[in-house]
Amino acid sequence: MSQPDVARAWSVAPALAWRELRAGLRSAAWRVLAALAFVYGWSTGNAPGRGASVSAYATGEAAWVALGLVAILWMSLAAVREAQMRTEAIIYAKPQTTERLVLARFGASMALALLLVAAMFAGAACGRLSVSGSVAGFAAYGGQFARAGVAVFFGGAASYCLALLTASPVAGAVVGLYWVVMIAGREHLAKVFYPAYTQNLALYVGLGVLLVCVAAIFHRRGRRGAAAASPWVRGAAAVALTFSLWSGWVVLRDGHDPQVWTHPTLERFGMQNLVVGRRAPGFLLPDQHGRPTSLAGLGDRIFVVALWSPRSRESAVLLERLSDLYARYGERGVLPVGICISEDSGAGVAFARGEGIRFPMVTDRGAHHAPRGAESSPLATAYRASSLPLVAVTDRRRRVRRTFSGIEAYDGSWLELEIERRLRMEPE
Amino acid sequence: MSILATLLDPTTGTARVGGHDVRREKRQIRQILGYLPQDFGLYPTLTTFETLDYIGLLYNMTDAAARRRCIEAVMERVNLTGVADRQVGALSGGMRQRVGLAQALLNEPSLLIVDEPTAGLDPAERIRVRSLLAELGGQRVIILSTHLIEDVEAVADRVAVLHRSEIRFEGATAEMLGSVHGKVWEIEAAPAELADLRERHIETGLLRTGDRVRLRIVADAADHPAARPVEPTLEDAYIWLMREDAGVAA
Repeated sequence: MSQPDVARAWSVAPALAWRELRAGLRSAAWRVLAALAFVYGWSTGNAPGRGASVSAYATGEAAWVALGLVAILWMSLAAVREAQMRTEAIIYAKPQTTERLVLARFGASMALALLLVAAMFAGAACGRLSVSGSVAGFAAYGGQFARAGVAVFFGGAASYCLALLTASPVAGAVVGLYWVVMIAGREHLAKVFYPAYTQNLALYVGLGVLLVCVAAIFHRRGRRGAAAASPWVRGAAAVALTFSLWSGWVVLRDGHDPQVWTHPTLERFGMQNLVVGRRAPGFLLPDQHGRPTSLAGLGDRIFVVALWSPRSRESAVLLERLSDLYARYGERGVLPVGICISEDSGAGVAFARGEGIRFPMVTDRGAHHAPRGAESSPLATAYRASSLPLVAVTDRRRRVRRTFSGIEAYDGSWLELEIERRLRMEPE
Repeated sequence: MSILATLLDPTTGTARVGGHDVRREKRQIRQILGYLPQDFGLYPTLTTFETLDYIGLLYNMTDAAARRRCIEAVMERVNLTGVADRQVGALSGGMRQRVGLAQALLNEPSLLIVDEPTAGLDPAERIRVRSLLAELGGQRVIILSTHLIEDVEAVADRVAVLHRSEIRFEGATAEMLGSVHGKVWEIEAAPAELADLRERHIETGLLRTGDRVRLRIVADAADHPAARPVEPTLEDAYIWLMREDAGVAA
């Protein structure tokens, strides 16, 4: 086959997928699910914060958890749809290759699943707009959509592959079981098992593509007769496998997880201890621009070190306060430093961008299970963060002068009073 | 049927379609094949045109304009133009069957395999499908599998009778008719005689005329005084072929 012929032949798969997508969009089942996703998104989208980061993050979490399960079921059924609708004899008696049929069906069904995710985010954005009346930080929805979308893609690809190869939608239930265990076992499972964490996205995209290629290669192998599977699909499978292995290695190398392996540098953070009157526990972590950041490298300032979690709505209020403090006292040498305690390595960056944060926002890559505060990472242990958010105010020599936790950290005027006091004692 | 349509591999033996081996050269066979299975489904939310457009892509018809022309021609041929924009799920059984036939004709197949194409259709629709098959038969080989002998009579010029995986007869329809020539009789009798006549002959039909019955039988000879020879049909020939299974002495 000549190159144009090959290109024309492969254009058939998207054309088939587009027609299947149109058929799916007309189905009552999909329309009901889209309406439910929109309403669910609306209910999660109503969140505090100047920008839409909290709303977007909460929607992203809800989307990958709930719509991940929906996608698993949806894709399992899509994989065996030919048998259920008795279209097998007509479809498979045609000269179209099995690979293109598998990829077209997968592409259309996955697009429908991702459109459900989009409906949920649209609901969240509308909910947020109705409450705040502003579209500030709406770009945050895009980032969280990508995160949830990858998780949904992987769950859908795994269930599609299993259901297709076993010719049974029940096989998809295995992936559903994995999903349920993953949701329930956040404190016990290693971070690497979670497809929705930013650091794992590349790994799970690779695995998803690999599974779809495996399904395309092994589904109805006998249908090809003496012909071999398409070299394009075999090549894509090899690339996806290599990419997944490499991504998995990077995740393990850079991560810190007591369930798998502990990163020596991050582990050393835990050997420090916050004591009022002594230097604040040090760290060297990437900020929202990817620059390695430490307190020592930020000069002789009064630091307001804030440990927060994207899963806590109070943290959003705290971040607003920190931005206000920076605007008010920044020129007098007060510098807030946010430390995002999250299993998801991308959460800190997403919030910093979404909320327009101008002070340093570092991500604690050592966090395992964010809501557990002190137990979640060596750095949180060093700061004795039994609950989040936690704020430590230092003097200009980085010595901790006072800490605030819980409601004191984000409400009332204790924080401002302490800063004013420090500025009186140590004017610029 | 499934083996010839490349959907199943033969467990033993070989089969070739257009010179192509059904095990090894499936793709080549599918290029020249049109297949209408007995029990098939279609995507209910696609319109008739969209369904055929989808099938056209399965035949690798990548040129959109050529595909459209082809679909319009086939829809015209099977009388579906009026329902081109109607969703397949809303079509009657007969119309769905015609969509099935249209999808099998889309690639102008040189071999058309149709499995029980008139099953479940109302008489008018059955005649329409049968006529269409008869018309198509002049241009290509059609393998028609059916339990309705009228379909065979209307369409086929060669017949094979399969019974329990064995070929009982293979040849021209005229030849099959010839096998019962002079053996088909009609007997007008009183209803009271019916049981005895049925006991002794192979019945191929019964018609009630007033207070009498007209029994159609197939037999080497009819010993009833009212018996008169009539023109055989393929149905008579089929029953005659299956006489051993009927459990009645000829």
